[in-house]
Amino acid sequence: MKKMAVIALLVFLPVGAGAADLSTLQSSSMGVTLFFEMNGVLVQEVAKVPRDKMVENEMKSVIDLLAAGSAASGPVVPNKARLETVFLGSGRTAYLNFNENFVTDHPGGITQEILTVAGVCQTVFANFDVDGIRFLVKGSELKTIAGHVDIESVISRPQCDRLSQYRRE
Amino acid sequence: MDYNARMHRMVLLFSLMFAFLPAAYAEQTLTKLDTVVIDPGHGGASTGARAEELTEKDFCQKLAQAIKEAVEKENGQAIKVVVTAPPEKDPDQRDRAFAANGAGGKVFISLHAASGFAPTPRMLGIYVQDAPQGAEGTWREAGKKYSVKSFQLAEKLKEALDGFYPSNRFFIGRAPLTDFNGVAMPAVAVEVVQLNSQLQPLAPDMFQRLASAIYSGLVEFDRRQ
Repeated sequence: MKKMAVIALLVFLPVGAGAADLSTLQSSSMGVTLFFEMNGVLVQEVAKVPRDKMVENEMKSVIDLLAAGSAASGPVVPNKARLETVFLGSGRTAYLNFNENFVTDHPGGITQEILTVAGVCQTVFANFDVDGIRFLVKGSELKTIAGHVDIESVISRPQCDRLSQYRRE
Repeated sequence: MDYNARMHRMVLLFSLMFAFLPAAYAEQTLTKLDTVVIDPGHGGASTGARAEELTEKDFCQKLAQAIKEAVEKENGQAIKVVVTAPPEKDPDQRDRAFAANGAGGKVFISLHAASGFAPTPRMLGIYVQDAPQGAEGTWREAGKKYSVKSFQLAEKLKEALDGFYPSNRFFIGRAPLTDFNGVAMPAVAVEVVQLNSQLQPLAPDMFQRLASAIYSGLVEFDRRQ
């Protein structure tokens, strides 16, 4: 009888330990929605990023995935763009402070610029509890990314939705 | 009726038809838009989008000159054409708007070239202003009262430009663009070409043909005023 109990323990213990590891793994990552581009329209994809005690770090991970691009659809931010810091200000506004590649590596053009602003904003709004977004590069507030889309003010969710539906006819 | 009489009648019929055609189609002059403002995007150190050696700045400058020539060819000196940015400079938006408004512009066409992270061809945009949040009462919504006419202008340019490229068509879009800040007249911003698209080789006569298409859109808009 003792022998049986030892065998049962040996058989079930690793399984039990494995299950515990899996549950830790599941809780240590979070599902996120990313917005990429296809034929001039934003399309959604799902992915996972590591959970972090600091929401700022989770935002960085999400923007890293956005910059890494997608196999199925087109990127909305340059490959070397990185979110350097995030500051959550009053009115639940997220101040996204990018590195300079966010601007210098942007190909330009009005439509591409719209897709960049809308793609980043939709991604942040979809995954984090913020009401506004302000773009910065190296600590300086941006007026535009490539000379066209006015991002001088905080961008709200309704504005982001409106910009995402930029094609009217 | 014998054969000769029938032929005679047909010739007469065709003559009458063609006699009225010039009145309908040869009227290519502007009558109400006495001042046309062409705003070439970027300039100076700001090259804008680029594809190999061609920059958005150079493309827009060449097209602006071609449109100016097209307007002058049809109207002589009766219509004033204002180009907001000389080739060597990139005036800020305040100066561009001041040049347009100060000249008494009746219509403002901002010229641009599209680009993208990938060379996949996209539809090209003809944009009208969608004033951003916080713009109320500021110069950023100077064109608000012209929004209907701006949309009409966009429609006419779309009609004129659709079909220009075999692979690309145009759409009308609304976005909060700084290119419209301070501009108090019907205004559009047109992406006339996608520079990084391999499916759009630039033909030598492209500027003249694009200018001609844009001018015909202007004529149609003029007729609606």
